[in-house]
Amino acid sequence: MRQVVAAVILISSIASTLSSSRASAATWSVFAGAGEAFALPGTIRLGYNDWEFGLLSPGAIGAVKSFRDGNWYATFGPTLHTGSTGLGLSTGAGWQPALFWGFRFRAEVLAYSVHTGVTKAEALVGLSFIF
Amino acid sequence: MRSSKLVYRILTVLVLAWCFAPSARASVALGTGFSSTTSGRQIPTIAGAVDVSSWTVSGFATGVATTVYSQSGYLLSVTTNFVKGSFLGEFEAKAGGGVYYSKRTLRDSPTATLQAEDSFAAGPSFRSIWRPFSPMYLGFDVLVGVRPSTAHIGIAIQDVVSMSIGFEL
Repeated sequence: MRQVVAAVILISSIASTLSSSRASAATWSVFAGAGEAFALPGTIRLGYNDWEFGLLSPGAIGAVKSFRDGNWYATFGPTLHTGSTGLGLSTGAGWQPALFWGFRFRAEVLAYSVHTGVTKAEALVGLSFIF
Repeated sequence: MRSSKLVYRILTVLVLAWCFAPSARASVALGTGFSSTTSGRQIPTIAGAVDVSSWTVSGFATGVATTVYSQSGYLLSVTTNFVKGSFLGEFEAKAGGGVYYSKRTLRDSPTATLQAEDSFAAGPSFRSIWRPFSPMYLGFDVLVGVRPSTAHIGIAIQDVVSMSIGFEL
């Protein structure tokens, strides 16, 4: 748990530094949450504009592009299932209402399917922070 | 008997939707892929969808059988427009609700008595469609199903996923 908090703070610091040093309106974000086993980290992602990278759900890493409509969004992108070393695609749908100080509550269902036949979904709940 | 009635009703809904589709400028999608019903094994599914206006009726069927066991799963969901975007082609997601039915049979040996079990799950669903080369599509049907159960909520929830590749007509 402490490692997760430390990782979030570290990634947040790096992203904050990078974003403040750029003149463009790029948006960085971090999303950390728990999966259905109520264990952390169910997901931990670093976001840049419409893209997110990292641990998408337990056992799946990759990158997804977000398509937003208000507080609702859907995601889609390439995925690697670490358990079977399978390559495939993932998609998700979620809700992320704003809380305070750039934090957002975030609930998402992420599904993926890889070429080894592993097809799975995971419900995720957590917090995201937008710089 | 109960399972055959359910399958019959699901097929009736799909056929009716398909029959009314042309008058509503609908499109029909047909594909194949994998599902979480047999996750970890490359057991194919038959997936289909009918778009009528902004609504979509979609589903899949899959199954596997040996001399000692069988397993089958059927998903039917109804979704409407959610978000759209572009990602090396057109991408759209739809949200709604759906139902899932699964039946499993098992016997300890080829001559033993067959034991059967079936289950239902219903809940919110979403459908993602990616069209890199229209009319080809790659789609996901996802259901966060809740099963009738007095057990822990983590056990009562059943995620159902189908990934399919096919064509839209």
